[in-house]
Amino acid sequence: MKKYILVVDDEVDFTFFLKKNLEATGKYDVVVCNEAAQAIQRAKQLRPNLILLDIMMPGTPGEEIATELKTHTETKAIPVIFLTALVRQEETADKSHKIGGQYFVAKPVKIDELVKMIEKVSP
Amino acid sequence: MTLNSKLGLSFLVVALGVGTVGVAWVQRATIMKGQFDEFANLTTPALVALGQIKAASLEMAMASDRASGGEPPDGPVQEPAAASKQAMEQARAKSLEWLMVYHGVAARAGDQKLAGVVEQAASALTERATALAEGGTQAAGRSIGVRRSELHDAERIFARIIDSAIAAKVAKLKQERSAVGRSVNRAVRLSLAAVGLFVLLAVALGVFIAGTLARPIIKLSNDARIIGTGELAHRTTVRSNDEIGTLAQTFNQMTENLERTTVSKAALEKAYAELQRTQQQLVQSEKLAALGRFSAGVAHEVKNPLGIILGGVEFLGTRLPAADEDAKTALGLIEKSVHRADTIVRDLLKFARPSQLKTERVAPEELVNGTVALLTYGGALKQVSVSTRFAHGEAELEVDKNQIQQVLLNLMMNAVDAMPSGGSLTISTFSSVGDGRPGCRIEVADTGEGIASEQLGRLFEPFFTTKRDKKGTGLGLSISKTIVESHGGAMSVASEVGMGTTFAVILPARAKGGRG
Repeated sequence: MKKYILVVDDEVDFTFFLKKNLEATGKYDVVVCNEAAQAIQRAKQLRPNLILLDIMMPGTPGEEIATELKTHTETKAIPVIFLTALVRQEETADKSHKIGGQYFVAKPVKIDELVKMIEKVSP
Repeated sequence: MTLNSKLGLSFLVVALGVGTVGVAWVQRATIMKGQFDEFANLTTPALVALGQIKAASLEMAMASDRASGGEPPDGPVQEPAAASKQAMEQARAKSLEWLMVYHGVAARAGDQKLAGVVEQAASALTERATALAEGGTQAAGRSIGVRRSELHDAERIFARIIDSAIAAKVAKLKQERSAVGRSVNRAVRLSLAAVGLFVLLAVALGVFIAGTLARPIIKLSNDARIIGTGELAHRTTVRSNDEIGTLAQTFNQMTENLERTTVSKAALEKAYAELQRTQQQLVQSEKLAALGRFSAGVAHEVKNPLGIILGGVEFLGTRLPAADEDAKTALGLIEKSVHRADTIVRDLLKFARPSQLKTERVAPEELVNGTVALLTYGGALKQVSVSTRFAHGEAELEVDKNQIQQVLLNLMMNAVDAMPSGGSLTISTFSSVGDGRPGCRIEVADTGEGIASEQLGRLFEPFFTTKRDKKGTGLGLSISKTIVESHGGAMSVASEVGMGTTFAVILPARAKGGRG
């Protein structure tokens, strides 16, 4: 059964390729949300297996969205992987892939690395 | 003793000395004058009386001679015998009268013996004169010539006695007078000597007091000069119970206050140097912070498109016909460029957020040898020979080993790049003391082409590179410097074109096994 992934990122071009590449693996169904303000509503609505969440977005930053997701019963169990353009690869590439207890992936990211991470977080 | 009492005492000593000598001298002179006056008071009437006695007695004898019809006296007038007798009587009475006077005077002067002799001679003369003039019982049986000669004998004896008495009195008077003179002279000499002595004493006392006044003042003035040169720990050793002692005490107190409130020049210079260093660090860290903010912005703006490109390349890769090798190569080149751009941006981000230091104790030789091993295994050395020299003694570093190794690796790779046709790379360690702190100095020296002096100053600037083929990002040295400075260390470079370049990393160190 394919995993259901919600991608929240304001970069439309980036999410276009991300959706294509993830779905090309045959393992995932991907829904993209380019509006940070709609992220919570979409998550409640879709109940994905995993959320890929951009940190730096206009309006609501990714961390705030993640915090709010933890407060709703429908979404609090959904695992989150942050996407960031600012964390160094060697930091995210440490054993746990965690910083401050949360999973990170640095852009630009190769799709097979991202897949490894998704499988680790949501086996 | 206060200054006033010191001065008072010296004046008192001089005044008392001179005064005492003066009074003693006046007293002594007065006494001697009194003694002399008393003696003269007795001697003068005696001399007058003796003179009168002599004159009267001789008058009496001459009158007796005339009355006896003897040779007429000088003079034109022949005197009658009765008149002569009368004159003789008068002279005799006068002689007796003065003998009485002399008797009295001699009794007061204690001259009774001499008075007796004079009286005896005078009475003998009177007896002979009477015998000649009147031819009484005593003259019986003797011729007038015999009596006259007897009178003359008596007259001579009397004259001799009275003359010698007068002479004795006069001699005594002279003697007394010269004795008084001698005494006065002696008194004057003694007085002069005493006055001289007291003047000397006063001068000595004056010198002593001036000394006790001047010495501490000179000492104080010297001490003030020493303190004036900045030796604020100096104190005066002047101790005295007078006003100068109080001054010295106040002086020391003042110096102590000054020392408490004044920072020494050396401390000030040190603080200034520290301040300058801190300011430079602040400027540097502010520059870094600004660069960091800038880098973060650039990174975000660049990484997103890089992400899109990479995503696009991977997407296209899945859609390419398997046989289109050229297209695959093209995609490979694009992906390589994405990674290259990503590397530069990652390097930039090292400025934005220097990683947390994970420090551990490590020996300098371990760090150096480990880095040399990395370089050797990586095959980067080519035709370069490497040598190490360790002279850091007991120094031990407490550093983030990975980061410092990254710095050393960066320096060594730069060195190798500077010697494309071979050369020697020397890594040396020294123990150093910089700013009074123990340190370890690691030098990486090459025998390469060297760096022109106008470029040396810019070496640590971000994006500055001397690598002509644009092999480097120009960030290696500036990141190295940031890492070393975040360890509290410093970096420097010295170079000579054609001779080579030496980079130095100075890191704080401690003695091996010392407590952190």
